[in-house]
Amino acid sequence: MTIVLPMPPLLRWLRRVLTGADTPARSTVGPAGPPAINELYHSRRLSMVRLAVLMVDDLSTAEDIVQDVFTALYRKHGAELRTIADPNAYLVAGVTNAARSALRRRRTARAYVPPPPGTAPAAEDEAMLGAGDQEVLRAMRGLTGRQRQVLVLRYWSDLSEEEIADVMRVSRGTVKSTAHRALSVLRARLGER
Amino acid sequence: MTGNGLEERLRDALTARAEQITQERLRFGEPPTVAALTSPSRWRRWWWVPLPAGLAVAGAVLGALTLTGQPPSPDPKPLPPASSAEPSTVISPSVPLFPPSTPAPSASTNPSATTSKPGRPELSPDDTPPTVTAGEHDPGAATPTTKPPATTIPATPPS
Repeated sequence: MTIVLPMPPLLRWLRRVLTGADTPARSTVGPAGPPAINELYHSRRLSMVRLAVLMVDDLSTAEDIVQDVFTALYRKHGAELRTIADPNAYLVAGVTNAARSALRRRRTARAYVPPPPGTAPAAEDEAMLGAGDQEVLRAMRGLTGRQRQVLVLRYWSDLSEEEIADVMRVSRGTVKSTAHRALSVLRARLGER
Repeated sequence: MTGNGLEERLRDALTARAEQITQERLRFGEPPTVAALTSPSRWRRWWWVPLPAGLAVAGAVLGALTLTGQPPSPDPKPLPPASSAEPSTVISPSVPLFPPSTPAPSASTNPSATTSKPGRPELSPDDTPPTVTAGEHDPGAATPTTKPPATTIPATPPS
């Protein structure tokens, strides 16, 4: 007869005994305060959700993206984030990549199923914006995902071309040409109206 | 429209859209230290399963080796001949009988192996069966309900 041991709790207990420290999950409240990942989450979550909303234009998808990025950051670098040099850059890059994946999934899904009526921006959101802002945002919805991301990172996050190239993992020339094409498209669409 | 004017409009529109997202509009979000525990990945949840499974298999193999006392032989032994007689075999009283398949020489030289075989007993060429039942030679007499009663046939046909 074989006895199946509860392996995860046993290993967790062994690790705690050998290291003499508590598990990361239980170290959320300690004498040194909350871990760095939770502080970063509370301080940067709103701005990351805003960045994701500007890229995917959907609040619930943006919240899911940001939650996944923070969870991945914690799983990869731990609670204290000692092994990462710039957590903010990691977050921006993670949100940008996840937003690109979400846009790709949405484009694939819309090739087979028409978008549901709830995916358009809420009416109160439209009403709170000025007419000029509504016009610009409507024109931005016609851009490709990469063009939209470059414009958001450049004109809302105020990143330089080199930083955008690092975040998007493309060359600086690609960033420059993509931004130029996106502005040309926007200029043409806004100039026609 | 100048390029700077377009960039200013773009910057203003993005800022206005971003400011619509406030802290109150966000749903409750768990900190990553809690969210990672409540939603573990599939691999992290089941990574320990192969360990006890491998231990169970290893224990079963060791137990079997301990009970048998010898490792399993790599080459299987030859199968004994079939126990049921083939219906196409015609047994003549004047012709000596041989089994349909000749066993391996090593098996035939071993007297204990021949006696323990459950198949038809071997007959030497000198042995001639005194009587043969007619039911054994009839291929159509496979069912026991239609089997005729056994009749005795003399070993040497009358001249």
